[in-house]
Amino acid sequence: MDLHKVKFEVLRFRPEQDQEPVFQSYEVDCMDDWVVLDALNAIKDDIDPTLSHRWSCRMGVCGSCGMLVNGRPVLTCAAFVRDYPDVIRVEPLSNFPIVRDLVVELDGFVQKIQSVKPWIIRRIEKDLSEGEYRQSAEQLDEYKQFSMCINCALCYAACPVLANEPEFVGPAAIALAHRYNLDSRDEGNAERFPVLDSHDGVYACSFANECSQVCPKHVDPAMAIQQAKLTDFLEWAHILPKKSFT
Amino acid sequence: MEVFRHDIVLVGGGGAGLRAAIAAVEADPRLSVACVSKLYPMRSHTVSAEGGAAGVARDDDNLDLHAKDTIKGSDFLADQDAVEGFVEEAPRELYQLEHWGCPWSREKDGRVAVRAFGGMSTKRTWYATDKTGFHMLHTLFQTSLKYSGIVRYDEWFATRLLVENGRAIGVAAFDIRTGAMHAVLGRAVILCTGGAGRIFPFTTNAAVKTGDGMALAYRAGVGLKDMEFVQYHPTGLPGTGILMTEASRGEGGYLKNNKGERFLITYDYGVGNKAELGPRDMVSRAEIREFQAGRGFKGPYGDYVHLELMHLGEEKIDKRLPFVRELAKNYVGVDPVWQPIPVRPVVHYMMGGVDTDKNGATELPGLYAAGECACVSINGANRLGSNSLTECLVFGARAGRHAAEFVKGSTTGSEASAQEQARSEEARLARLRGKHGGEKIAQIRRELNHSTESGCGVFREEESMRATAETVAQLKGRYADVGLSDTSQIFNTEVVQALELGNMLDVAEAVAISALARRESRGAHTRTDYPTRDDNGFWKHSLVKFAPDGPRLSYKPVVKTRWELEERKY
Amino acid sequence: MSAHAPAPAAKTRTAPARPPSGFPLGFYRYRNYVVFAATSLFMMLGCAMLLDALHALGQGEAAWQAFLARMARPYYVATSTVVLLFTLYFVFRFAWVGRKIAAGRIGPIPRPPVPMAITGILPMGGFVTLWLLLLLILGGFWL
Repeated sequence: MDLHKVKFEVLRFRPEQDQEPVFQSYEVDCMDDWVVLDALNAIKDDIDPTLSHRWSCRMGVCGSCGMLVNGRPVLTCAAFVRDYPDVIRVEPLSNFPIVRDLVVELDGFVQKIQSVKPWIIRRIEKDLSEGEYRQSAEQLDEYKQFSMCINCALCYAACPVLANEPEFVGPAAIALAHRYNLDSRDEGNAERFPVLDSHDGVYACSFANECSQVCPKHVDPAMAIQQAKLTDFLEWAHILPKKSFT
Repeated sequence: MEVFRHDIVLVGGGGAGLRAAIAAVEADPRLSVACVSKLYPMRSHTVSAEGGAAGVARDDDNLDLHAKDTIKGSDFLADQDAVEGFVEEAPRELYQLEHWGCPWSREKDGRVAVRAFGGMSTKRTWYATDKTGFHMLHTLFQTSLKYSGIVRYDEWFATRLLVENGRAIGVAAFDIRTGAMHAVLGRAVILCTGGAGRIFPFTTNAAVKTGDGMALAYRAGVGLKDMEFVQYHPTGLPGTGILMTEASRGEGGYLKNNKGERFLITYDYGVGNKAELGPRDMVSRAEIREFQAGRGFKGPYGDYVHLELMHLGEEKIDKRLPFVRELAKNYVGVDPVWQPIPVRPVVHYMMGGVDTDKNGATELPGLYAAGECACVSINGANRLGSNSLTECLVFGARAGRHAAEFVKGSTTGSEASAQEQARSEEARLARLRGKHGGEKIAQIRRELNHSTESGCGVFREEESMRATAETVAQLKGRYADVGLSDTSQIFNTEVVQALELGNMLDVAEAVAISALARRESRGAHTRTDYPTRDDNGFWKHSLVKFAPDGPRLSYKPVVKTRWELEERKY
Repeated sequence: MSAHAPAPAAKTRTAPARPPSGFPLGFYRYRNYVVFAATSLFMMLGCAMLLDALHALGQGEAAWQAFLARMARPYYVATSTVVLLFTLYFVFRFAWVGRKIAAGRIGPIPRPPVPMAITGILPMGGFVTLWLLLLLILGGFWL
């Protein structure tokens, strides 16, 4: 396995000593099959242990390692060094305040996810002894795609609306709300309506579609948002009942 | 020094932790349950689990069969009463998850689908395509948001168990964001921190699997049980160790050597006609033996065999194993529809852990543990695939309920004692941040990894294990002289790594000591110098306890109810 | 918890959020988005022109003839063409949205047995087509 030198320009921010973020360069010997995350870990382990970054599963499912690589929001565990030129710029996700180096403030994001009540809401719950709610493969397919979100927040980093309106509830939150609204077992769209219908809800989206372009799990949040807009309008106009789907 | 008061404190926010939290607040909605996790909960390693969760669901299946499979799979080291309770509660827990919205894959009639899995005599593994852990974790996390009684401390690292008068009263934890140490008090503490695969170099495990909870309990004097039993998963990608789920074999995949033989059938590896669906320890051993016989493929990350899925067809792969296809394409450049995937055994799960009873209670009053970090034991010397996700649910729920019951009669620990212990932790953390020793974290970690793999790998023998035990002891000494470059308070991940390394060294010590002492081969613990199972001498659980002058080893009996010991052949 | 709740106060000093890289004009997809946003200005201009036409219509024959004469002037034709181009781009991009709006099911109403793109395009396309026709007619390009 060959090694080749790659230059990484990493945005640093140490709140106790830096006035503002500043780029720092590192030369890293990379193996052919490395991902950008491997290089960041090599920097942390052997070159500069003061670099802070989040990561965990390194297989694209935990959502921790989202960053901007050469300007594009990607999961650094799935961004292969061989696909980039010999100078790679790594920055923390855009549209989020920077806590430290490549670590961004995610509490607001988590709060938005929580605000759409992402859990099964039913009038009457079945007893466990009666077994499962029957759900056909077609019914599962209706929301399946929107349930694949790993909460990596790349969509929030890419969204131009969030750049100017940080209160926008955002693609992942709306996709998650829509996932539950479409789930045949759920009856809670009336509960989610206020958040989706609000000024910071679905109507803040002006269809840049960047969220779906960067989503590593092909959730297509833009699709969820546009569908949610139509559903929201029909409910607001009382053409569709808000109460229950089942 | 801020002290936060709750009724129950959980450490770890994965499958077991979230299930325990929900169980506790459902048992008593007035309870305040703190969930202290070094990660946002949806990042927990449960998320990477792929294949499925086992529970009796079909009419042609029964609880005794699931129990027998589990006990036999454990090479008869599992406590049979615990297994009986486990298989009985398993279906209920899985239905509960379905009610909470988990998108289980379905049969044509809308009922939950089940698939075949290693060591299971019939289909009973519930699955959500091949991202079961992901869907389960997100369902649990999202459901936990319903309960205002669950208070989360995201990205807080627990460094010490607070004990007063022989009782667990909470944890000392620091906020990774601010660097400030705090005391989080609770009348019960539940450890759900997962395993410690990262003590090995090649593992399916995420970075965070460093055995933190095991080390917390160990240092508080609680025993770690059956630590010598480390499960190697037969199909991990060489190099990265990324998991290729057992479901790929469950759906019909083959394992072939460099002669194109399905070696599990061609040669006698004890799996009988189960072939690729033999238990994990047997399949992993078979692969290593194939490498030793020169029938493995050679690669830059060691030998490997082929996992063939081509005969399943693109449609079945896309429907049942889409994530496997994606991972193989991205990380080894192989499309399993057309080419075989290179795989080799990689460390995956620790059967051992914090010694608990059937309800998750440890010997320390007020301290509970559940999930991979605990050892009840239902997995004995070898775990069957798809029992672990169910284990998180069953024992997470039990620990939560029992902790809720326990706190009814108990009193909160004294704030003075908590403050004092937390202050000493604060000082320890400050000293660690400022250390300018000559040793480097990454170097000690690499040497640890090298030592565990060479000494406590799939095949072990006296010399290699002794070498590992000695190396770990040396590394612990060198760890005391570690040097850190990052002296900052705010989001200092170097100090987190240093703490994790300390935890890993404690866990590795327990693994090596227990492995050395067990002079037999059972389940995942295979010794070339003692190649057979010795029921007369070693049908018992090992127990390691921390002592200042070196770990103390003892043994505990195995509970047997209805199943007699027999030769483990399939 | 609501989207309207104020963001939790930062526990430590943070650096301000940085805008997406390549926004607004550096990256081609963001450029397309800006053009899409700009269509609103030109469509507003087109509406103003329509209103002008309607007003002239209401003022009697002489005003209408004056309006027709104004429409034939090169600057008016040029402006109308630019408005038309931006409107066409809007229609194209909105039809692209259309295929995403067509859900598998809206409430209890299942997806109609026609391709998703069409069910999405029809309502929006219909409206935009009508408006385009009006523009063409009033612009003197047709009828």
